[in-house]
Amino acid sequence: MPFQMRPDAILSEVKTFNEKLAQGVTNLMEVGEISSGVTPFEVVYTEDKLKLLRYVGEKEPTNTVPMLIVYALVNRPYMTDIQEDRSTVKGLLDAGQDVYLIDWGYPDASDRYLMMDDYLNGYLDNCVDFIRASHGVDAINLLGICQGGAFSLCYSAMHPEKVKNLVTMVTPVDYQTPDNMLSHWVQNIDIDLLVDTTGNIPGEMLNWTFLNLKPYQLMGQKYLGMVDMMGDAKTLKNFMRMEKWIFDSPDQAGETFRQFIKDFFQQNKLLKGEVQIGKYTIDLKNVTMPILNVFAEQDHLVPPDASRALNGATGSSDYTELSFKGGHIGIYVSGKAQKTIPPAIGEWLTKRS
Amino acid sequence: MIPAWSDDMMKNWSDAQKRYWDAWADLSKMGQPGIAAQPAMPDWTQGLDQWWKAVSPHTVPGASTDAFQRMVDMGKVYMNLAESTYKVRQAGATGAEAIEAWMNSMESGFQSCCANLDAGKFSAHGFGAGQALLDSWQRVTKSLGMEAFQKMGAGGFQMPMSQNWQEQLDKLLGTPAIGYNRESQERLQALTQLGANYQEALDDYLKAFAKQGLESVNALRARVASLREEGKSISSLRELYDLWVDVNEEVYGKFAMTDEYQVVYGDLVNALMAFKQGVNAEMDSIYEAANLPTRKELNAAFQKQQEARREIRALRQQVQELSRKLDALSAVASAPAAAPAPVAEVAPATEPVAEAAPPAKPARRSKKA
Repeated sequence: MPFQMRPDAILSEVKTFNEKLAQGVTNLMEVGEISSGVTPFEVVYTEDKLKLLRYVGEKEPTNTVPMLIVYALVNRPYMTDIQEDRSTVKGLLDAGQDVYLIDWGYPDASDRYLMMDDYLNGYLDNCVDFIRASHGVDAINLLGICQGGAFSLCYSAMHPEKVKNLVTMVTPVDYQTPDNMLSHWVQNIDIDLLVDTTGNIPGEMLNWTFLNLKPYQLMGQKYLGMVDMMGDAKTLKNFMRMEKWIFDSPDQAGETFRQFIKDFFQQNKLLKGEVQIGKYTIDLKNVTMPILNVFAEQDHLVPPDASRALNGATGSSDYTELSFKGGHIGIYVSGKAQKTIPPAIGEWLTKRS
Repeated sequence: MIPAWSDDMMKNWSDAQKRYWDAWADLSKMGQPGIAAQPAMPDWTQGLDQWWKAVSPHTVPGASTDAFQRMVDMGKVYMNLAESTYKVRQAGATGAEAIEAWMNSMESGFQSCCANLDAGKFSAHGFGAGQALLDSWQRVTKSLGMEAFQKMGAGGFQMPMSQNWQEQLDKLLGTPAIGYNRESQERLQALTQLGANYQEALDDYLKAFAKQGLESVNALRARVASLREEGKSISSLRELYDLWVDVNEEVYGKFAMTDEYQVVYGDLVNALMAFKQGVNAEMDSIYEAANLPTRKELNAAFQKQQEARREIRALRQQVQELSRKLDALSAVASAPAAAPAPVAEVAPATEPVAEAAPPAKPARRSKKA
């Protein structure tokens, strides 16, 4: 018989569950404030809502070429520095890198007309110029994450002389691989109607979309799993920290969202060389610097094949792939990732800087 | 900062916790002499709900409470599973009969969910993702200021709950617009039609999930049969629940990549946006009549502001370029008369467009920001 539970065993399981729940709520009350971002930093440049952070490591960087992390506009960049023992930023500092990061801030209604040109040839270019001038170098290292990786690719195609080395992490390049759920869903959405109606795209809408990717796990099983771990205050706090990050979703500047979804997801123009940003037509063959392409093999948001498509698409003669056995978020926060990913990136960069 | 607790809050909190602990302590005594056995119809789901109602007012709103609310919601689903299986097992059924009864109950739940949607009503069915997805979708509608239309079916339009609400709505929309308020009536009828379109799209979306739920029950039956053939068993509620989640994700994963899902998903978003756009236009006409700034006017102002930002950026770059050239010329002019360097050979731009001027060599501090 496949189902072997006796009534008393059911009762016992119910009792254990409720005891854990009652104890957990007590722990929850003692969690206190949930901090995010653990590594010390200085804000070295600001523009509108943007802040450029420079992280301070425990030792001086050994790589004289600074690196800039370009995070996605979706969610918040403190994912890369989420907690003491789970920090990509800290790992990169330990690997001798001089780490800068762009915090794009939270767009409001006055930002709805920000276009990709404003983000890339305005904000991002200003940050790159600031770092170049600060360090007296012609080019810096860029590390783009997810949508920030796509931005970094476009930027590198427009301004190759300012990018010494390019690292892309979980970055979609081919937006129409057969296993790309987000791309499949978005094909029937009238993006013009959406942006014309809402102006900026509410973060809640993005939350709903991402939860739809694995609804039974993300809205159900995960929370039952939480009951098992909440007896331990530290584990509970870490869970809450992740939970805070997951639902910390800035609204998306309307015009940038319009272009990104239509050109990248609906028409796959990046691979076709047809994306137009300001006065530039994005040709990936202009991306000639060394490239390290890092992706996750169990990524449910950006399928690995969407990232692998970068191979051969650029003009670089020094292309390296690094695959990680984990998911889209695990590549930053899992214990395994801490030991492998930042050191590997650091070593790759140092060799080429 | 978490606010300090008052004595009353502390007492209510500890009373609620004590009652809950006592209840579960009683359960653990089951089987001991003199203690009554659990009733055949346990109400653990309700017990959990009541406990949460008692303690949740004393938790601090925010990410923690949000997560805990989700956990309690899933706890109720889990308790519901426990109740179903316990009841059947208490009645003397075998394990196989218990699991079959549970699957039958889910099947009929999904079927009635589909039937109710056809009749203009929504019925939640805890084991599907429908309710959780609907909650999440309602957060979207709330963020768009559309809370008034969160209720399903007839409730969404404040109409009496009837099986034929769509018919009543069609009659209302079919009324010819005449007289002094003709234009206003036509506008409102068009808006109501957009609302009805949205309702239909939402129903289709939820029905698709209920249908997927039915497919998942069948897939679970197949999985249980295969476990039986392999001589494997499920020995806890949690294993059963996890199996259900695995099967659902597998079935959903395939369904989500179909054209059918692409259509219901896109139609839901498009229909809400068309409706919202209609609501926006009505709001704008109200604001305009009250001599208040409209969304259209604000958008025009924001667009001009963005254009001004771009112009400033371009002008800053020009000023810096000119400044560099001027510096180069000054350097040439003040240099000894030997061989003046041509302006074209001046070093490339390195000055940033920055609100904070960069240090020549950035100093590193070790204090925590």
